[in-house]
Amino acid sequence: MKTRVLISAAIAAVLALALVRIAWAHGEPVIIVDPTVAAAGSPITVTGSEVEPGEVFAITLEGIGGSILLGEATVTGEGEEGAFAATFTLPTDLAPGSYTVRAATEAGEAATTDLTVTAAANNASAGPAMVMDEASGELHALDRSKPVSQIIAVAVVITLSAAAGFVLIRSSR
Amino acid sequence: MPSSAQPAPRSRLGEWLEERLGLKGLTYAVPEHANSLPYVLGGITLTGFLILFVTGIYLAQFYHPHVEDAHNSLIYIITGVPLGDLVRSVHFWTAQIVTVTVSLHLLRVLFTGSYKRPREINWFVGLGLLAITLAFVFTGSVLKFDQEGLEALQHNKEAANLLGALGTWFSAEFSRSVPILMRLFNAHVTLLPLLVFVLIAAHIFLIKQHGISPKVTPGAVSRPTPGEGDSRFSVHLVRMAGYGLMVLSVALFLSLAFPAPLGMPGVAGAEVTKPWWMFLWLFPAEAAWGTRALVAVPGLVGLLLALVPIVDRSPYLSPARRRWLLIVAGLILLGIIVSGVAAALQPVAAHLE
Repeated sequence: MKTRVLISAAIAAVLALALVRIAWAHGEPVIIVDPTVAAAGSPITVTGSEVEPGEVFAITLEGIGGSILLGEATVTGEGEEGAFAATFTLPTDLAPGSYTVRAATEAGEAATTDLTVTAAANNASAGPAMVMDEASGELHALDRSKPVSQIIAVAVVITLSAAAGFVLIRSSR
Repeated sequence: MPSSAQPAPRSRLGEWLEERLGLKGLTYAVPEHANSLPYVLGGITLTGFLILFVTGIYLAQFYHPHVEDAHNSLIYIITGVPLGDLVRSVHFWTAQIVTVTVSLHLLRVLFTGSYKRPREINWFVGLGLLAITLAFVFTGSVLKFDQEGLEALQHNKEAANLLGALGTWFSAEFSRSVPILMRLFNAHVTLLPLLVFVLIAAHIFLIKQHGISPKVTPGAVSRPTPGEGDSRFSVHLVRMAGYGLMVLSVALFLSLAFPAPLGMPGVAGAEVTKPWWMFLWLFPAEAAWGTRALVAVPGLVGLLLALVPIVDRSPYLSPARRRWLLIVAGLILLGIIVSGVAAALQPVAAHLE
């Protein structure tokens, strides 16, 4: 009985973590970035909630190389319920990687969310003569022909491997 | 003659090895049915993992896990690395085969009641191995960083947000110095292999401790069987190796006939692809309930699987005596298959919030 209680408590403790939001240093305001993965040079929209009308948030992008000020967003709304939504264009020379979007007021109120930046769309390609402006679900057209000698060698390995496997299975009866 | 008193070189080598390795310890008794194909599926999966480790080590020498270079390094592996396209394709196809064999292994254990006392903990270990296998597939699909991989990453980040603190590892706040793609690569080549090694060791240890689950007959009950049986574990190992070579042959053949696909470089924010077949069945649920379905549905299926040995506590192994559990499991499996087929026919839709 004691063991069951302990196991149940451990499971409940782990599941409770799912209810804990990521609130590293700040907690009250909440921001969302859309999309969460964006190409350098593309627009992102930062939306804030749990904020008070009239507050001005400085939106910065923080990475390993330092911080970049994207701009400011002013909270609109009535009473104590406010929100903001602001669209910014990421610098085209922004290095791909992981970034933190931070919204902070001068009073120290702040919220963060994360953003993954990929290469600028026009630089994202590296294949033969290809410029990517739009997303595509097509396969990359690459020269995947193989020398005849390689095909023959692989065919021999396939045959030998299958034959050895068959012999091992049969002999172990 | 003096020479006739000397042992043959082969037996001398055998004795030398036996003295140092004690390989005769692998000839312990196991039941005959333990060497049949359904009971070798776990071993086949293990040989598949060995192929994946070897090919993965080769690929890791040329793959660059940075957002900017990942897709380019894949192109280099395919077009510039000696045997790169072939090794990558074998890695890809073996991953598909392993996913199939590990799923069939789970179904075999479920059908034959091999999860019953005293094997419940090994059932949980097996579920952990299934989860790790799928984590391997997921991280591997993201690493290529084509459109499909990038979309998988975007979905993963949204799902991680829903997990609160449990999803912290996927956030940029966790580590600003190492991008998420590099962390997924690290997970793919260090964390997950370590976990799979530990769990496989535990899985094999527990099988050795409890013996193979008795053969399913109308009156058979679950009980420990170590040391019982008319066959030998060494026979099981030889069969495992034989099937492993077959897996290698199939993977090589498929690699020649259908090289592993690579999509166009990913463009962020778009949703124009569908996930791999292992995750495709979640597509309709995601269309209906949004990204939260990516957390809730696999979580629910995992929970139901974890409950199996807790709910079904009778000692009987015969499917006829466990028909309600098997009917429910069959319906869930049917639902997954139908959902997968429906997803394959459905047009691509945007789900990200």
